Amino acid sequence: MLGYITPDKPELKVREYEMYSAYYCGICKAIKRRHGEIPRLVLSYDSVLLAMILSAVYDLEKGVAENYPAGPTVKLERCIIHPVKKRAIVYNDAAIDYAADMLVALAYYKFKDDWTDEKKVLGALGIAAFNNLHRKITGMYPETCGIINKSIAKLSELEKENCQSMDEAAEPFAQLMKAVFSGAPLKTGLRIATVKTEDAESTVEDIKAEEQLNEDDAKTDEHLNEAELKSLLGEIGYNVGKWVYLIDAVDDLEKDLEKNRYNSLKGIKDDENYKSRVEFSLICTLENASLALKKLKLEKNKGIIENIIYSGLFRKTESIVGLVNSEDEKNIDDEKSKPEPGSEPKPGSESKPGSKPE
Amino acid sequence: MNPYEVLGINQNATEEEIKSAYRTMVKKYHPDKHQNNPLSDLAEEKLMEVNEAYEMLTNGGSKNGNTAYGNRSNSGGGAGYNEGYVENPKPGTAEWFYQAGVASLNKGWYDDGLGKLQTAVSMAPNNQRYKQGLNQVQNMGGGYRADAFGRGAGRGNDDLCRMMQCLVCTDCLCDCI
Repeated sequence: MLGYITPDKPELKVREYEMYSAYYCGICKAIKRRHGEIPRLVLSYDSVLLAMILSAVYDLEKGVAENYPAGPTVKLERCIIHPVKKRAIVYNDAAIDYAADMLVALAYYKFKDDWTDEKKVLGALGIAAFNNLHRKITGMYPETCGIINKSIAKLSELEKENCQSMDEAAEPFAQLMKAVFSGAPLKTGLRIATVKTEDAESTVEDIKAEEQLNEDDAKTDEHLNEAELKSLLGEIGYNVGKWVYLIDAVDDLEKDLEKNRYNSLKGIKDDENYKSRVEFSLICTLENASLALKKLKLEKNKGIIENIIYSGLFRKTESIVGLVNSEDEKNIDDEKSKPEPGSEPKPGSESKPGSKPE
Repeated sequence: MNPYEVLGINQNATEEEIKSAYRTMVKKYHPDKHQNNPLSDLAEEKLMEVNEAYEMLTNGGSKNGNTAYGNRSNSGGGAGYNEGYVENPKPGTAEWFYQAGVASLNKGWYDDGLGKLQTAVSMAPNNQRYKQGLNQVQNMGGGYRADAFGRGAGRGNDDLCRMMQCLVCTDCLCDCI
């Protein structure tokens, strides 16, 4: 399930691509700084979307995170994987640190799941390596980690029951991502909008009176309060999470059939409208994610975020769903998506940014 | 009228979001803001629409299927507005499938919702409300696709086109050009 959330690289401006890489490297370095060297192996491209959206939200609210007085900066540094040329890395960004923490939390649960369900040795090793970290991160984000834990347990349960409803099967993972996206600490100097939430219906007069009291808040009309921000972020997280789960199910369907593993789409794969149903669901998730994104009215890194949501995920959808019925197309696309010789950072990542299907 | 469109919110909006959007809209179109504005009539009309939309969304309650996708009014006469609407439909009836489908869609279960709406339409093929609801849902994603296709080389840079439009219009309207 990793590596699906990537930008449409050809459509990124060069400076955007470099910023994207700087965030990716920034997350890697943040993991190292906060949790040690070994967890860096769990790095993936997906976390960059989370970091970018959160970073833009923090920037939008013109708040400065309590522990990050200087704000995010970009430095040039070397790293183990790229010892020769210095790379741009974003530092001191609350969003990147949060994304790093979440990656490690999710990795722990994934290891636990691998060990409990499939007795994979890697799972057991992972649990051992990440055990202390897990306790530390659960201490930092108890609610979010609780939801992650419950979601993974629910996912296991549904797999055992061989759940064949694509929505029901995707729900735990969607809820997990919703918790991750909306669980970011927002008390970072946000201005809370002054519109009070009242129980009684407010009349036009009440609103007018309120407005007169708050003359300096001329812009609070468009200003989102913390609850609204969390809700919108949660909406994006839910839909992106659902998209990831579904696209993974579609992508893995053939392999799962061969190896007799669980897949929520096995039941409907022979239906004549299978492709259109799957495509409909996927596009719906993207539509709702993009609607929520629009409401956030982000400015920082807008180009990259929109590229991911509108181009990257869309192309990925087209290429994976489009392949469902055609063997020939599949072979061509496999050719194209073979690793290119390049200078892309890749510790732990599993796929390259999506290539255009033809 | 689509109340969600009028208030500028997602169809999955919570009560909180609806209230907040309503307040924003009211502030925007409040007549006191537009006293010296020749468009004050427009603002008044818009305000009435906003109030109507808010009423539609809060009276039905956000858990009830009536407030969401199913709430299409009058595209072709008033008859179709509440066609077949029942407060607590019996499970297994077309209306039950329709309302359950709408509830599914609202909570993000798109495939499930689509299936239920299709069932409702097949059980009651003459019901316009179900048909309209289904159509609306099937066209979901159109906005996203338009945005997705609209990105990329050249599409965003139609400044020259816009400039020519301005010139032509000005030319027609103004004698001195």
